[in-house]
Amino acid sequence: MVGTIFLALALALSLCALLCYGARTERMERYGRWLTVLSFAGSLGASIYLLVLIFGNHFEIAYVASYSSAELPAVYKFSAFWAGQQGSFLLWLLFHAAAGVILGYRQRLSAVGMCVYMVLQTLLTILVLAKSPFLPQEVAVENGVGLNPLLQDPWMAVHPPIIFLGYALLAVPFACSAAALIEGQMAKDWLETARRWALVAWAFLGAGIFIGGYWAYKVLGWGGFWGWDPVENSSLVPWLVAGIFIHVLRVARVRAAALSMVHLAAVFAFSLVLYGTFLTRSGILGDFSVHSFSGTSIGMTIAVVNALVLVGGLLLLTVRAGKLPQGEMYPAYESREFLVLLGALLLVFLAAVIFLGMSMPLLTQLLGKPAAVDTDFYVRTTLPLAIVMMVCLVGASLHRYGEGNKVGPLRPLAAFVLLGAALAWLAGVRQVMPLLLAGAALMGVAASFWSWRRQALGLGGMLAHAGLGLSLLAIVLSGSGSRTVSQELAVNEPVTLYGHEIVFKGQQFADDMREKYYIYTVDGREVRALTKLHANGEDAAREPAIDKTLGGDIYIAPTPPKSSGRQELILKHGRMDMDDLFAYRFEGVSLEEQGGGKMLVKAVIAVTDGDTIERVEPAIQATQDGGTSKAVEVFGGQKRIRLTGVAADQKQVRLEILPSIETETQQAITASVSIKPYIWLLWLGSVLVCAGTLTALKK
Amino acid sequence: MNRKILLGLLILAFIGYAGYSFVDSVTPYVGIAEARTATSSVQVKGLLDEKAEAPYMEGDNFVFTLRDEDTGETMLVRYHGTKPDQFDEAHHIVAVGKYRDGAFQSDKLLIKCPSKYEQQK
Repeated sequence: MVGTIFLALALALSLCALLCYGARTERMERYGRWLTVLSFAGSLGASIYLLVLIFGNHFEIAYVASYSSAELPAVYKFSAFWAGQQGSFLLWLLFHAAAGVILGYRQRLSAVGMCVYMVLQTLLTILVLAKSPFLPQEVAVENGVGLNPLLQDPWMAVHPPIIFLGYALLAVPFACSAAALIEGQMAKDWLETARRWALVAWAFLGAGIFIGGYWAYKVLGWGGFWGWDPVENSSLVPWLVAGIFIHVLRVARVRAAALSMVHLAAVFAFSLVLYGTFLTRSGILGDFSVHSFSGTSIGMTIAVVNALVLVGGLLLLTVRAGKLPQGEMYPAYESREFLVLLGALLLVFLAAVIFLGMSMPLLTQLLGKPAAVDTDFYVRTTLPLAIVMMVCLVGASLHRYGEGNKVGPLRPLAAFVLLGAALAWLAGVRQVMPLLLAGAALMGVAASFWSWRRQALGLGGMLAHAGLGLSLLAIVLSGSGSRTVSQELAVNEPVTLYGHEIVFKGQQFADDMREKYYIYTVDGREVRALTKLHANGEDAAREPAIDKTLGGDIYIAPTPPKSSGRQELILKHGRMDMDDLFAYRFEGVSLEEQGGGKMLVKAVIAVTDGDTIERVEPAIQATQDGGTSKAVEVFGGQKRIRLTGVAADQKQVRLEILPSIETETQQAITASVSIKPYIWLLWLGSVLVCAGTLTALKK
Repeated sequence: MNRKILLGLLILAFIGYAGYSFVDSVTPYVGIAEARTATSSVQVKGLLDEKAEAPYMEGDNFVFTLRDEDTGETMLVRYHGTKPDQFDEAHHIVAVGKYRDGAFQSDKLLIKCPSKYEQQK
């Protein structure tokens, strides 16, 4: 209730702020600013209240029950805040409102701009209210479900807020552009504000994407650092378009005729953010994406907001098109203006191709039979585009703005093409396109550096462009150059793969049996692969062991064994059954009501080795819709018994007999061992892209 | 002027190439019966058939039996990779690939797992 009141307040206040700014008098504008702060306070209050609910274990609230649990570590209770869509929309609103306060007080946005911004804020607040995280649970529960073990990872904890900060801040360039069009202020002074905010948004959205990629690399089952999954693509496309915005904006500062493209890019960048949210939240992608978001009613609301932004923006641009500066956008083909614009055009193609691919399920659903495109499609189309884009980057770096302003000759850089291609060849790449890209990418790195040395490119620009080149090079080297084999690994038996000696040292369980590690040594260095376990001992989330070296990563992923030495036993009441060591007899079942729909189901099992009898009581902790059971040890841990089923008439039980922990940890395993050449270059490149972009703010 | 035409031609060529790649890589969603006869790559959605042999690894392949939810038909799937995470908790499996040599040869599995982001209601 409190949370909803805060949200309702935030909504009312943002509407009032909108009206005040709309009045366009100085006094009303001052009120407008106060109201923006108060509206922000409303969303901040709602956010703090949600945290209070999560930390107070208020499982009567549906959202808290779905994403948190009493035993969840404190750090991950924070990430439970944005683990579901309701919370992530609230976070988006919080960022949006915070940016609104800064915009109002730093006076960087005109009253009209603030109006546009507050319209967006109002719509966002309505979205949060429509899918509120404060709704009560229909059926009371004592404990929450908890956060998915896969998401209990530091990288995954920070990934959503960073992405959402990027999303939220892209509203600023949109508001700037719309305001300039409405006011008919065709001068270029709004560009500086838009540029700064777009750079920050771009750096954060990029960082969010890279962090997501790094996380996907270091857990299993997510298809490596990039899987062309629709959900991944839906954040990549707005990022690419925001990149176009930043670049055409730079050209527009020299050539006013490019201004129309700046407006166009601003409208599309923000629309695509909303479109991506629509695709991922509407459930349309349900059957096509590994990030299964279930369908929700909120899809239509987002679609309407999206249409409003897109149609409104484009309409405004069409109406004002006549007033925008006309003329030449570039002085000559051999000029930085032309090459930057050509590069931007390639980015348009890149974005369009990916957009088409990720929208396929939606488009085909409208036409009849749903379909998706193969990931192969993305590789085939983006690869040639990336090559030409790097060539444009090199050309643009070697010219200054204006006509006939060459920075230096192109030819010495050709050596870098050969070097890049040679590196890729050595890493095992044999196809023409990837080899060309490796060459072009390394040439881009060299050209950026060269251009910076000749003062034709700022430090930030140099870092970001060199980072992009390094990233593309690394994608070729680690992607096309990657090799994988499936290998049987017995404990302490060395195996040589890719010139490295790999020894499997066995498994190790954590004390609470909720985690285990596969331990290996690679050339004597110890690496561990974490597997998180469910309470019943089954795998919940697996990570590979990664040995990081300068030449590349050795990536060892354990595959589940054909038989883990676990045995299933079905026992009738009073009957006896045997395995290799013991005989087991089922003597009875007891039920213990624990309230709240919970029940403890215990079975009494007598175990004998022929001389002595030991009685154990493995149990199932049953709830209304499931249960967990832990293994109990017999004869000092020589075997472990887990109760996995009880017949309705209680005359029969199903048991799982597990070997001793020592036996299990010393079992041979099959692992898939890969080498990812020079993958660290990708992490370095990504960091440079983001750091460079933020450095560019300083100018 | 010549350069403009050249640029235009290049752009057209790329659009043509992208269009071709697009049509070439569309994988429609089909039922098991259709998947057996399809000539190009398709996506099949189903459940793990619990009555069939338990999933196992064969060399580098992960083999299991998929059951069509509507028709109850089953089909052997040979996934070229290791057993995906959370396979056991999947409530739906989508396999992408082509039917060949008595099994559906798949290079990509989508595991629809209720606990991944949202709890199944």
